[in-house]
Amino acid sequence: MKFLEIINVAKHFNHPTKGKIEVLSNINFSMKKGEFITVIGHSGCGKSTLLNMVAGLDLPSGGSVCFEEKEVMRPVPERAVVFQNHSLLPWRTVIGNVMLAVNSVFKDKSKKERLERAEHWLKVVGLKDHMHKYPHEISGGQRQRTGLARALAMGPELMLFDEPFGALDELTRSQLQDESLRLHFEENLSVFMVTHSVDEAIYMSDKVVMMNNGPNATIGKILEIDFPRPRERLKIFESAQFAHYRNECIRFLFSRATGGTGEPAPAPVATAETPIVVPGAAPA
Amino acid sequence: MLNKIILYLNVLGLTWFVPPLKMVCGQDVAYEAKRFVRMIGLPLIAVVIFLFLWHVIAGQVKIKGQILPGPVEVTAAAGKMYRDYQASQANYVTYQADFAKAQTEYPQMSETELRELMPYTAAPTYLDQIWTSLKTVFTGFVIASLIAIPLGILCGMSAAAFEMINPFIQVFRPVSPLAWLPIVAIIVGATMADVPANSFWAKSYVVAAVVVTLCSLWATLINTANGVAQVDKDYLNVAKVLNLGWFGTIFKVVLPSALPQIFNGMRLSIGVGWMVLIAAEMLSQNPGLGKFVWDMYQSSSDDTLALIMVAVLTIGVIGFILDRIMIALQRMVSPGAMLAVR
Repeated sequence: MKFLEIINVAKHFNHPTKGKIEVLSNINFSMKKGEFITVIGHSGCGKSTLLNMVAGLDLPSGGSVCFEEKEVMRPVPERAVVFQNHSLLPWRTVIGNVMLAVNSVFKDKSKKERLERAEHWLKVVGLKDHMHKYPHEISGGQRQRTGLARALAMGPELMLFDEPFGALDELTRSQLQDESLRLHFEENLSVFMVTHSVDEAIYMSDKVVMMNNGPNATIGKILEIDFPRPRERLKIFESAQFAHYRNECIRFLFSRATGGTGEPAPAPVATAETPIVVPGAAPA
Repeated sequence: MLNKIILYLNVLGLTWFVPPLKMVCGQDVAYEAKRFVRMIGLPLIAVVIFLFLWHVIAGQVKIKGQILPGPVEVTAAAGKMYRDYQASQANYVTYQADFAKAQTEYPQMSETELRELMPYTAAPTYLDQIWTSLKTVFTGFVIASLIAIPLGILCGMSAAAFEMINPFIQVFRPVSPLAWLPIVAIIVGATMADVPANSFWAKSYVVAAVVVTLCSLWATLINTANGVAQVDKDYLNVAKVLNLGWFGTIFKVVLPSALPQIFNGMRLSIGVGWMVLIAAEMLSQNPGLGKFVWDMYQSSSDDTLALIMVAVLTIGVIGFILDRIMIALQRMVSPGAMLAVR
């Protein structure tokens, strides 16, 4: 059975003064069960809109999103979303937030079973000792973990990550990336992620889907990432292959951003966000 | 422990008590003393200046051969009212004793029969009148909230519903209680013609309460609609992904999120209600503070003005206390305030 298929998807919005704004057009790709796919692109290119359409929070203006051979019409717990800014309800404790999801999805299970389920997933993400705290009492990383546990506790077929690590500091982000990878590997999850971090996309995914700039954005290139799993951060970041992938991505994103054709490549630029790990190792 | 008490005091809006508490516990005495002087000392100075000016000016003004009552006369009037209250309490004790005696003398009569034969006929005391006013405003306020909150949720959830209800809000909100009162009085008078005047749901009581409702429900309605419309879109997306359904979304996401705003509206409503109540009571003759002011205005004793001033101060202080209670309730339901106290 086909897992996730995105067929000729287009999306436009009606702006009160500017009229019809084309955001996405002609989006085609598919995803297999168990894959980790990342969509990367400049901010405003419509990646989050694409994720919302996969979730069912938004509907395409043209084409269709098919999940397990059924057209996506509305959100369901089988496609759990980990939101960009955690979106925990501030008046509920950590476990209260997870229980809200569990209660809604497993209505037929006993109270005890539901509680055990919530506790299990909070333990998995390492929040055993913080279950009864409120979101404002825990750190940003812990909040994002709670969001992760909430999504996992729903027992989803597909996890949708909407830039879940974007607001975190570098060290916390790395930690959460590693844990998400571990979960993906151990729990055999399928993950569809949206991000604007090149390193994150390469390190975590099987495929990096690169979007060019909006308006009317579409898929420019799909990069297959061929690192074995489970992945080891240091080994991957130090490898020549990583630098190669990285240059591919950056060349694409920068040439499209400036309206170029992709050739010739600008030299990889070290920025605070994406330092060059292995200088001189890029074969591009 | 101390920090927790201070947090509670802050949440409940009783910030005045924080500096003395900290001073008693020996924390930051110099700083807290300064704060205390600012918080209590400055208002106190202003009050003293006001009382002094009032006293001086009142002594100069003559109305119909009487001086305008100053703070001294008003205090005296309050003292007289308190003695009247004590006298009527004593009266009541005597009546109860008489009644008990009558019960032993005529054991064949039931209590209700006997009460009808020898009813307690004294006029209501000032405290009774305050109590009646509070009951009336509370009744009107509860009815207003029961109407305004569900309607407000509807308006906040659906732009179409808001467009439909908005004209009524805009047109009826500015209507004065004095304009509503005759309409309400005629309708209530016709529908409740058989209700005896001394029952709990006396006509005058219902009229005043309904007028309070009509004038106070708008603030709650508008604020509830606003609060519901402003619920974070991410929370609504969470509700959608979790398949909470219409009912679950309202009770688990929308209401808790809009609660601080709803309480803000209710606070404004009870303020408006208390203000409107006095006028409503004057015209409907509901035996509360409004009727007291009206009766004093109609009688022409020497201390009429002083007694009305006592009533004005009472009304102001009660309004202030009601507002404080609503602020405390609002803070208790606001995330971050009460949650921090836990």
